[in-house]
Amino acid sequence: MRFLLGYGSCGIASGAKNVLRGLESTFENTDFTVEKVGCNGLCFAEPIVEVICDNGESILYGRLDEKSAIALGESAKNGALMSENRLTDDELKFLNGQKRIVLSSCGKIDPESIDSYIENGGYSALRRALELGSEGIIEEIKKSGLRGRGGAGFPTYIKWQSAKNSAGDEKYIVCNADEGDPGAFMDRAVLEGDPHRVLEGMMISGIAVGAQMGLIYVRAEYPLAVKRLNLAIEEMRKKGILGENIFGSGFSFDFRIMMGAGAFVCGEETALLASLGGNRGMPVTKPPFPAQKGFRGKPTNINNVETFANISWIIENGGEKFAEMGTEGSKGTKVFALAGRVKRGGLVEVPMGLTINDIVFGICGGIKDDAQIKAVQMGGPSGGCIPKNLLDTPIDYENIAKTGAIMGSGGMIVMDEKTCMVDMAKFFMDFTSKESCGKCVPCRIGTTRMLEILQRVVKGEGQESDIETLVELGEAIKTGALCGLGNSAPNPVLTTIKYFREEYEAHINEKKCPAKKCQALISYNIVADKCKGCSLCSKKCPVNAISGVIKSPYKIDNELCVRCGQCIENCKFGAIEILSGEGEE
Amino acid sequence: MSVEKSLIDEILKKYENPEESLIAVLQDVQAIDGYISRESVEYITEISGIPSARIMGVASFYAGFRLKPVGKYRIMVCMGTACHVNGAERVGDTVKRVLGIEEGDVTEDGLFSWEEVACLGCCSISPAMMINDTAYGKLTPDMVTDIISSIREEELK
Amino acid sequence: MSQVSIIINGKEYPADTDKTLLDNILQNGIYLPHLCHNKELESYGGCGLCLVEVEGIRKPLRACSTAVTEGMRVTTSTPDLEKSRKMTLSVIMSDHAGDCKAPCYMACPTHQDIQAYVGLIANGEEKRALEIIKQDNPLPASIGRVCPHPCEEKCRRAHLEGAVSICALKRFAADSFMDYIPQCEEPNGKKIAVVGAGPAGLSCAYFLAIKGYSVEIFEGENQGGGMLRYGIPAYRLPKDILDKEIENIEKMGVKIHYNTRLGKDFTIQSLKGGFDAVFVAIGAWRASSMRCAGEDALGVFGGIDVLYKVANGERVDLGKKVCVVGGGNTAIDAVRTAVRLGAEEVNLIYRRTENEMPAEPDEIRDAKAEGVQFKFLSAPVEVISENGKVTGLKVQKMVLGEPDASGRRSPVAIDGATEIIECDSVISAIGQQVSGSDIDSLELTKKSTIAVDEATFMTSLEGVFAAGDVINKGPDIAIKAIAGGKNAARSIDCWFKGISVPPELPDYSVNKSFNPEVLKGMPQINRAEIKLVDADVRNKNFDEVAFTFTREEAMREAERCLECGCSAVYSCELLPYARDYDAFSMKLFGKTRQYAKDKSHPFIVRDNNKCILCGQCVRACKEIRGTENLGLFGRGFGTLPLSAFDLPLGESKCISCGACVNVCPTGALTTRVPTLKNPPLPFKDEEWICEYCHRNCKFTRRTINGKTVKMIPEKIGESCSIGMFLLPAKENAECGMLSEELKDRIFGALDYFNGDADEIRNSEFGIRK
Repeated sequence: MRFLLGYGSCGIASGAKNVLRGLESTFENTDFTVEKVGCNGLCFAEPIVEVICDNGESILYGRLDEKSAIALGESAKNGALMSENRLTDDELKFLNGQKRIVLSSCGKIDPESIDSYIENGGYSALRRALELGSEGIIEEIKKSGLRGRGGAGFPTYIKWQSAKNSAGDEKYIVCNADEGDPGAFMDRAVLEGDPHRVLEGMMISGIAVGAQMGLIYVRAEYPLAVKRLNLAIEEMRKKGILGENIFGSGFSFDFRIMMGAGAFVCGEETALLASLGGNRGMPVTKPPFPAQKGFRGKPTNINNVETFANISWIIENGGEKFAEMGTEGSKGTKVFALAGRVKRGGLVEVPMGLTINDIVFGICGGIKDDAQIKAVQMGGPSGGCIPKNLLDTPIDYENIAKTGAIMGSGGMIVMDEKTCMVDMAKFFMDFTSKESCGKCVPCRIGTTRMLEILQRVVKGEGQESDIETLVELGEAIKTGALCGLGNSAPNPVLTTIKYFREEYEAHINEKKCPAKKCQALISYNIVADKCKGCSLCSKKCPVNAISGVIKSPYKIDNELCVRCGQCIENCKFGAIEILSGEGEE
Repeated sequence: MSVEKSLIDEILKKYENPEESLIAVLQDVQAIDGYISRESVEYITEISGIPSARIMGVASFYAGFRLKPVGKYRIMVCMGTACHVNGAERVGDTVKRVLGIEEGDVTEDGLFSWEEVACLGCCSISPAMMINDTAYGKLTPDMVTDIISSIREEELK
Repeated sequence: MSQVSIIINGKEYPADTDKTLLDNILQNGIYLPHLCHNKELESYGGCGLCLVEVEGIRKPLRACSTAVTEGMRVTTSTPDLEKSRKMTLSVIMSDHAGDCKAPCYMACPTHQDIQAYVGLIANGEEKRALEIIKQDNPLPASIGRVCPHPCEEKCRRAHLEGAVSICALKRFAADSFMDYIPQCEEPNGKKIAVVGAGPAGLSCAYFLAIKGYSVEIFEGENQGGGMLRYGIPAYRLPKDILDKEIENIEKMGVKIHYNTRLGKDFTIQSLKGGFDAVFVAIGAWRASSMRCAGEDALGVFGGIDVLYKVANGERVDLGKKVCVVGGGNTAIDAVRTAVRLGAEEVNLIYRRTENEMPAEPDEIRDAKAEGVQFKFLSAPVEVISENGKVTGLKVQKMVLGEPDASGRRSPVAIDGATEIIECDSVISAIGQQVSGSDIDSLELTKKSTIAVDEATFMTSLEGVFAAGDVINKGPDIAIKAIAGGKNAARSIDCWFKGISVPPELPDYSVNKSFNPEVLKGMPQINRAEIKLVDADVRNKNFDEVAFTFTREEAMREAERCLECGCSAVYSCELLPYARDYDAFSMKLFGKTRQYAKDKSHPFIVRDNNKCILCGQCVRACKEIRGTENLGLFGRGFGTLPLSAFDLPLGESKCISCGACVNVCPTGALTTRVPTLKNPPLPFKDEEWICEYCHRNCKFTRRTINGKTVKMIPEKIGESCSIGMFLLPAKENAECGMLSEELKDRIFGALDYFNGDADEIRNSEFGIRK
């Protein structure tokens, strides 16, 4: 019997260490061991233990703590696995509805063991690639129809071909692991859970392009990923999979890891290259493209983590097999990171062409507290909000782009009716304006001005002309900004104006936040009929804004109230309501 | 505060090309004191010849570099999308209220500093924050208050 | 290099493949805005203005970063591109905390270039200062004595020890050269009639004369000056000063017909017959009534009537006790005149408090010193008289209530609280009105003033213009009438030329959120007090009470000017684009960056308020000289070009190569001039060759008043500090300010010029010693 404990950083944050302690203490002096594996994407049920029985049957336990872990361990020792904490059939739909390539080994293998990877078929694609040679590899990738998973969806084989065609012997492969899109965490999961898959993909790209060095630009915020990558590289070297003359093929390759220092704009190829060179991460105009003039001025192929993670599967199974999945223009699978107001958040890998509804309702079980869905935000700060009535859009690059959002790296933030769309737009604008590198005028000042307008609107200080000004500024930034960050920065605002204009108008004209979210436009009120005068809210209020006499209705002083919501959470009688523009005061 | 020059010497020696590896150099230098001081920058310039203006330009560009000292406990409140939707603002407000300092400042006793950071990648346990290397998730204002006061109590012992 | 053909806007042009598309477009004389490109620097793509459409490419491209290829078809202007440029310039302007012109200039009704003339005075060039003054003000000696100076209200030095004494400085310059007359253009044969020789009429005549018009003024009184003569007592403006300034205007060819009154001796229609255009500026001469009982008693006077009679040498019997009603400057003139006429008890009656008085604080102070009593919160209700002769004034006591529309708190009567002030005469000085019958042929406003178009000053009659107290809103201060005369003259000139009148003030960048904090640390220099004749001497006669600044006083006072306006206003590359694209009309606003000026460097002044972050200085510092003393700091909106650790430029590792100054498109980095102040004035450029070493670098030498203010090298990368800064500094005998360390740095930096450095270093150069 094997015990696989999800030990990615989110698992650890959810208490996987306690679970480990619990299991290990019970397993003392037994043959049972706990295997620490990467995140299997069932984030909603963390911490998770997968028990694989001797007959191969897999049982998933979720939401464990030290106590229940001990119980699980004891039950295993007793030969009758406990029934508590097992994921329900309904919850298991989350996994069963997926088609996993990139995530296939995440949560299945020990990411800190190269043997574990090799046992699962690892590095056989590398051997195959060495046989295929450069032309052969690129041909397979071309047949697969693989497009870059980092955002824009540029055909991968064209990039490779172009770097290959560039003159020179010194070439580089760069893996963009600077996953900066707030709300996306698939790259982290892959790097933490299956680092070799990415490294193998990079090496195959190296063969195709004729590069000898692979650089991984990874976020410093992902220390576990960095640690596991380093470990993986070390083990590869020991196994002779790295260095000079790999497998006696004459192909030599090595890796270098560089930690990003916190700049979203470094997701932009040219900014990433500047950063790799030890400079401020400011984009430059293209051409020349990195494939012609990249790291150290040499031809460089840049792909992101998920793109590289697809490569070994394609080489092993053939491009055609990959192309069988997905839609006409978008082949294969895509990993999505579901978060927000969704019932079961986590990582979902499905073939392209499913609808957003399929994912949110079919796989993820719908909305938290069974509330009404309002929109799904796709593509992070560069993407847009797709409204409820467009959620049957099949997911592929073109169809998503038609809505005004972008595929991006695959972050999907689900929003219910309590989410204010103006506030969301402001959130993303705040993000991009802070992340603007400051080089070009439209992005540097334009995003700041857009943010300032949105800040006024959520405070109820908006003017009627503000919506038009936002659209004008947004369009100008899209046209005039130097790089992808700026070009797409207005998307969240433009899509919310397109689909939720009435919410903007409510903030501006009626000084009202329909979602009852914007602090300046709401007030708290205790419904006298429902209040039992228990005084709990008053005790919980951090600013002493609630007063009253025991057993008679309490009152909130909205001048003092900071709208933290503590009272609502603690009220057992649902007596506290939020008002906005409903004639209060 | 004087700089441990020997430590910086070691860091610079570690890198074949400190100019190209400037970010890594600065990350290592920051690891010494938790921030990058003017003295360290001047010393890097002295040894490596990299102009201070460039070093400061790089150090001030990336959110990961700090040019001011930080608290013993560095609280990072995640401002990612999922956290925002699930109430990150309340977490930040609570930290600010409990510590009584603005973002980026250090408490008088030097124990705490706090800052808003980009997505920590812990979206599934949002809203989240990190204190030094430990992540805390599914936070409510109450929990934030408790976490901070328990650290404080621990320190007072 | 190879030559290709490209098609720009449908026309074929030759192009060099080793130059960017932008350089090729500009080289062919085609207009394409750009602010971050310099042909000596690597392409950057920051400003986003040079976007062009290239056939076959979906998105617009930055011409500065695009290579040319044979047959390339480029469009530089489409509605989308122009819209994008307008937005880009609008957002730049929304973050441009720089002032093109100083706040004093913006506040002055006639927009005198105060910073320029104050700067010239500080530099000891008061003759040139007066020339600048007289470009906008024909009566500076008079106005320099009487103006309530709205400019000083906006002076930013007020955040420190007090506003610069601008008005007195103008008087100083004017008094120094009373004979100065500006050059007039050749006569153009057009004849203009001006009705009224007051400030508006004289101003219009003066400016028309400069433009070559033949002007005749028709004046009802026997002397000129209007209200300046009859409304302002001689102790403030001696008549001989006014006479001299009118005489100067006559010397410019303007004819004045005295004792010729509109409505009596001629009509507007009759003038129209003999002249090509008519300008009416007859003022507002009727004192407003107090609207209280008993006003018809003997001993009740209009303020303006008393002042008129005194000015005209007529006897006025006010008696021993005088009450003057009103809180404005005319009321103050009346009380001080009453004192000088021998009244023993003079009361000024005002219904609000001293804080609300429209009169100048200095005037109130001087009146008090001369023995005038002030009765505040008192409103006249009845003139008490016996046998038709005034014996007293009954006043109602008031309190201040809520602020009214003007923001001033309105007085409210206290029920039953009245007081009778004994007096022999009551002077009503609460305003003037137009006395209308002579202008009935023109369309009038409800106030019985002449209705004129705000922009053209034309009345309802084609070819008849008007300005001054007689139009629209009625009476105002003298400088406003002078502005009216000036603007009407401009409008008349445009009318003859058949062109539309350009706006009175072109668009300028204005710092709307100035933060006084940036002035911290300025050395304190107190405002110079204007010396006055002792109160007990001056209150006995009508001799002038205030002295003109001595030259020393004036220079010291002028030195206090903070030079708020941009020294690069005439060379700025941003301002013309912003005007071309109407970037001021988009009402974008938000936070702006506010910085203190950095004057720590001997050759360079840095004012980051004017920085548009084009990055050229930083790139020049790195790419041209390899110095990397400047770098970009921070990111996003707050990014700034600074030296390491934000050191003042003078304390940084700057080698004074001058590259940054020569690439800056705005006034963020400017050459420090060898004079105390750097008055922003139009400049002259001439070719100049540096003969210091055999390289003979070519420069453009930029001069103002013959003084070198900037040396612009033909090739920045090939010219050194010697030609850029040291020779001009030597020429201006200011080299003493260089520290040894800086000299070493400058000479050390000459190594960039390979073999030539030694030649330069070893040749005789005074600075080295």
